[in-house]
Amino acid sequence: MDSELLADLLKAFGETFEMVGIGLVASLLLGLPLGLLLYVTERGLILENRLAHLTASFIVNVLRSIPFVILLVLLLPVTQLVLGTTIGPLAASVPLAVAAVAFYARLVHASLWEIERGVIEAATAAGATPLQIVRLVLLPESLPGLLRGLTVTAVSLIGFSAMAGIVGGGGVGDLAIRFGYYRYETKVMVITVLVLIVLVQVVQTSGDAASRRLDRTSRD
Amino acid sequence: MIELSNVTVRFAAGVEAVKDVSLNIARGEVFGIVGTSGAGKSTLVRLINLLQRPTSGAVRIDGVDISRFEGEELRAVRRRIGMVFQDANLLASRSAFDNVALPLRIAGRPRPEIDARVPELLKLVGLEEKARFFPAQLSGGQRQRVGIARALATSPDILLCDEPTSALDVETTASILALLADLHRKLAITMVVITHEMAVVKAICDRVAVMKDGHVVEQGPVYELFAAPKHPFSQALVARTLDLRLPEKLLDGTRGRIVKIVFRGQESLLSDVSRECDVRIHLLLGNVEYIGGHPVGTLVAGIEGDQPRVERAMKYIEERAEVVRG
Repeated sequence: MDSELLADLLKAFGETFEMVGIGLVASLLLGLPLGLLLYVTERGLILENRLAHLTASFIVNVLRSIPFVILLVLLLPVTQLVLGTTIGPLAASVPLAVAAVAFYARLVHASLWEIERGVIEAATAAGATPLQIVRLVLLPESLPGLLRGLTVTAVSLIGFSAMAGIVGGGGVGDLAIRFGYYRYETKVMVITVLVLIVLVQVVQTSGDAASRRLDRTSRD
Repeated sequence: MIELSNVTVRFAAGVEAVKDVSLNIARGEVFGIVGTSGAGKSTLVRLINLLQRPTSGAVRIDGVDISRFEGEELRAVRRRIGMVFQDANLLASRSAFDNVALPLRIAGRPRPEIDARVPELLKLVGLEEKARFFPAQLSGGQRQRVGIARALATSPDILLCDEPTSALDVETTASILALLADLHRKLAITMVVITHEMAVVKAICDRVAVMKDGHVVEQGPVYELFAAPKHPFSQALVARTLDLRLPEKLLDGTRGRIVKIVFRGQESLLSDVSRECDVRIHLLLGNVEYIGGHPVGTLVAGIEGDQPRVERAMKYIEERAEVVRG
């Protein structure tokens, strides 16, 4: 492998990490609370509120129904407003973060659904406040699921970040498209795709392992 | 101590789970609520800690109507009421210790107090060795013991038990019932026990309410219910637990008039009737149970003698016990 390609790859790696990292931080800071909101406002739950639930659900669905390439372009004015530029990995992180937040919120919602309602009832009967139920019941009980969801989100973000090239975001996927696809450099394409495969495997495997370690539902 | 007056619960679909129920549960007693599934028992018990709000009527604890309580006021009441569930409802992600500690954390008790109190509670239910175990590593009976320890963590005045033994096998059921009876003796706590098993009522309850289709059709001391059930539904419930069936073949070969006698108290009834009326009694089948220390017996016997004597004997028995079948 020539040194020029290696330098490109390293740079692309850094950009991918930057974009995926920002996307994941946004998922935790905004997607997790949004998923919790979707759950606790559901019928029969601790903060049942039909309007809040439907509104949150509608927003998440809208964001999730827009193809990422279109979201990328649609959010250009927002990116400009927030960052003062629409070019580069940081700028590409804005639409990535929005997509990841909506995606992760649904996964959080789904893993909260897996909690036995009886456990929530037991905490309610003991006089827990809604905040205590979130802190003492919902989060610890769904932790393995939340972590699995975060892993899935990370893998999706790696995929989405390939499209960030459209706004000059860079990253490993963008490298594969620019060199391998547009410039017919098959060798570069193969190498970058192999790098992506390894990256996804590492993320998925370590996510699974961490989630298994936290899971207390097995007997051993 | 707990008083429900004219309580009705109507769900959104228009179904009435509890219909105009009035109950009075005294301090320190074990009160059973029995009925088939879907009778509204679980809804009824959830009224006491307001997991279910009444559509109409009042729920009073120590004379205070709590049915409109909200927020902190409601949570304060709930901390005085422990609850045990059919499936224990433990946090799968937390050890036995942390599960028992949950109500203490909710109540905001300081760490040293929790560290001292939880081992005490685990000892009380016989699980001091299992503090570090997770629910998946415990048996059904052990999980229920953790659930009971958790319910008692904040030293509540009232313990609600919603089908505490229904998910357990016969032996485990017996040990959990023994534990509940033991705790009741030690802590003098007021207990409300929901069950569909008459055996549970018989084992630990002082008084009982029978529920059918959202109504309480009968209530009173457990002994009264078993000895003289008034409502047809309670009669059927009791008959199912006390009923004795005789093989048909045996009936064919028996001499004398066959009677089935349900008696309470008079243990010498058969020898009395034999002596008084000069008849021979063939005891075919019998069972005597002691409920709250009083005998309730079911006997199937053949009465042999000449016609007038048998008639006199039948009358004698009918005056003193319930003859189910002549």
